[in-house]
Amino acid sequence: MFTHLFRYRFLSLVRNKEVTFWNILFPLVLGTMFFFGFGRFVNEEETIDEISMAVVEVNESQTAIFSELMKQLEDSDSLFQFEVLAKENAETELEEGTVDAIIVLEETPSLIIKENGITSSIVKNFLDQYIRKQAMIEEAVLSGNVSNIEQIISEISQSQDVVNEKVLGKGNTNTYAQYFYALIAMCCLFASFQGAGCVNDIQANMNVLAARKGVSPVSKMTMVIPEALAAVSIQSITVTVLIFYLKYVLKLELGEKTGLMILTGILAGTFGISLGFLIGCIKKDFDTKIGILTAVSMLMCFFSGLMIVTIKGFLEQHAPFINRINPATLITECFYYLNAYDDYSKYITNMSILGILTIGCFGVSIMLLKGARYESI
Amino acid sequence: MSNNVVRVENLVKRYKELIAVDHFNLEIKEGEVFGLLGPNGSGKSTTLHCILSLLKYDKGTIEVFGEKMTENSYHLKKDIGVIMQNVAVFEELTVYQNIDYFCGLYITDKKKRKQYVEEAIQFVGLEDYKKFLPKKLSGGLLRRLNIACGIAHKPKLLIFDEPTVAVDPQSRNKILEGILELNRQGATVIYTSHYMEEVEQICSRIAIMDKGKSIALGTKEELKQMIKNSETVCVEKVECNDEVIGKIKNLKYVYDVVYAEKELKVCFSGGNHNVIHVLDLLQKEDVPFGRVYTELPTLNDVFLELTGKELRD
Repeated sequence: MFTHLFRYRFLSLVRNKEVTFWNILFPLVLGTMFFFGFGRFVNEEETIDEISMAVVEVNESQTAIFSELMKQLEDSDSLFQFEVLAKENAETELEEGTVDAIIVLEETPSLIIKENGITSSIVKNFLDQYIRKQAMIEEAVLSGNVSNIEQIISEISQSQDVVNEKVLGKGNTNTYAQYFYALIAMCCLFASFQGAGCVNDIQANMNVLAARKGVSPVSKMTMVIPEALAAVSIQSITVTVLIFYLKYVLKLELGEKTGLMILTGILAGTFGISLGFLIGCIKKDFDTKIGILTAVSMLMCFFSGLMIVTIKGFLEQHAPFINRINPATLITECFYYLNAYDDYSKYITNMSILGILTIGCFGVSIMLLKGARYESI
Repeated sequence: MSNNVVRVENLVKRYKELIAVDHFNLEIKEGEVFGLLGPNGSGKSTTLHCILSLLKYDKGTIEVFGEKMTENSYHLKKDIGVIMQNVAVFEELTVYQNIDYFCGLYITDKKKRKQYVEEAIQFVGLEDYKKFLPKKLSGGLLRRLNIACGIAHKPKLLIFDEPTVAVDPQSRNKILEGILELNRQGATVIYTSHYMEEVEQICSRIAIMDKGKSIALGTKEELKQMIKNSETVCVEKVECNDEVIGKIKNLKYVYDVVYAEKELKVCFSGGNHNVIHVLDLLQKEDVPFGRVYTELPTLNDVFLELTGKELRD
């Protein structure tokens, strides 16, 4: 039964012109348009000579320790330039682009950035290192052991150089690459239409085909699982084609971890299908469901920076939780982390959140489907 | 042991304020071709959807093959074939693949399924269209595909919900002949329609529905006996005065006489050779007349007399 249902769902999806256009052709066309619009910038390497940071002093003890660090770094041939400013002035300068980031020296120092990119990655890494080694610096300052301070600072400083080198040497973290990551995310979210179609076709009150399936001796669950897997298979092929097209036909520098990119695309596509399942269970007509899905997908993509690349940075400053739960952002960040970091922790975190969201959507959908009985057909 | 294939008792289905099925009772015996006749909106399809457990209903009991029918009665559904009012096929699959898909929901054995699919294709006469996509088929052929998808697994109970809507007369006859053939092969058939001629043609027993209620049930002969009219004698191009009409009204078994635009209609509620009595009288009175013919009551007359409205209102 599984093979029978899978085979025919797969076949009907492959032959469906709407699926072919929106899931395969549209992302390829959009990718090509992006490529001709600003593709040349993607393959340009970003070189960083200097990162200027505004420092806002709030907590006295933090200020004392960090001042020592600033002094040491400015004396050395460091990448960083610091300027102590009031918070309002610092924010103005960040907005104007005079500084790349703001470090607020509160009890736990925090970072304000305008947008994601190499610079913000380096600064974030620097601050993380600082926070981790803060206790050691504090101890060295209190004991007056200058050589110890120099050694710790040297470690932090060197690690930034390594980060910088690694970032530049690996996949592309160029701002313009974000557009292509967002494009892949959009392609994955468009899989939601297939998901909604699957669910629609087993709800007897939605169409005659579903009613005909509803009178057959096959339960909804038996029917929906192979159909969902057929949709996942189509989506996996689609996203693989898109990634290969961007990397090997358009020759965009999207990093070397193609396998993991495809894995991310498959999970993201599965999430898209699960989202379609969930929206497909709403008691509305199919056109309304598609309208809702289009609006939700586009909104997610907008927040992830498909239309305005700086929106993600803006949200990071003002409503960071949106970035933590927005699937499109999670997907684009997964691609970004894959290419920006050697460390997979952030990538794994995002993939895990995406996985949880996928399981959640499928779980709720199955509960809604199982209990569904129809008032009218 | 009862040989009821379907038993519906006191079924009530409401759509908010509207009562779509109102305390409906039904018993369909094995081997019957049972007709559900009624105008659009009379509750025929809703009743079928309730029988199939596609719809929730408010009250009543439904049994199929002697067992309570529920949404999860998969062992019962295995022996039911449904032909929906609207064509329900995959646009992206060919004729063969569509039939194979639906047959595969009932028959898991590949070899057996292949044989059944071929037989269904042959039965509906789609041998030359196996590789066609549905959009390439005419309306009649599409209806035949729709039927093939519902019958391929050789069900014991076949439910046809207005299968001939928007079908040309040639295809309609083929469909009706096919239904009778399936019945001869052993299937019990439930056939809903608002075309009384079709129901009269193929059904052994008929329930007439109106406003969700069963207003009459029986064989077509039994139904026709329920009404006053047994025969209507029609006389064309006749010129009658009030005296002649009065005399016609006094003929035995006559209960109504309508005379308009030189056409006379004499309604009888029994008797034999009524046409002879009418013609005798006209000749005696020296009244010239044109064509003479008689009309036997139809199910529409039954419906008209029981509800006061035409079946196709």
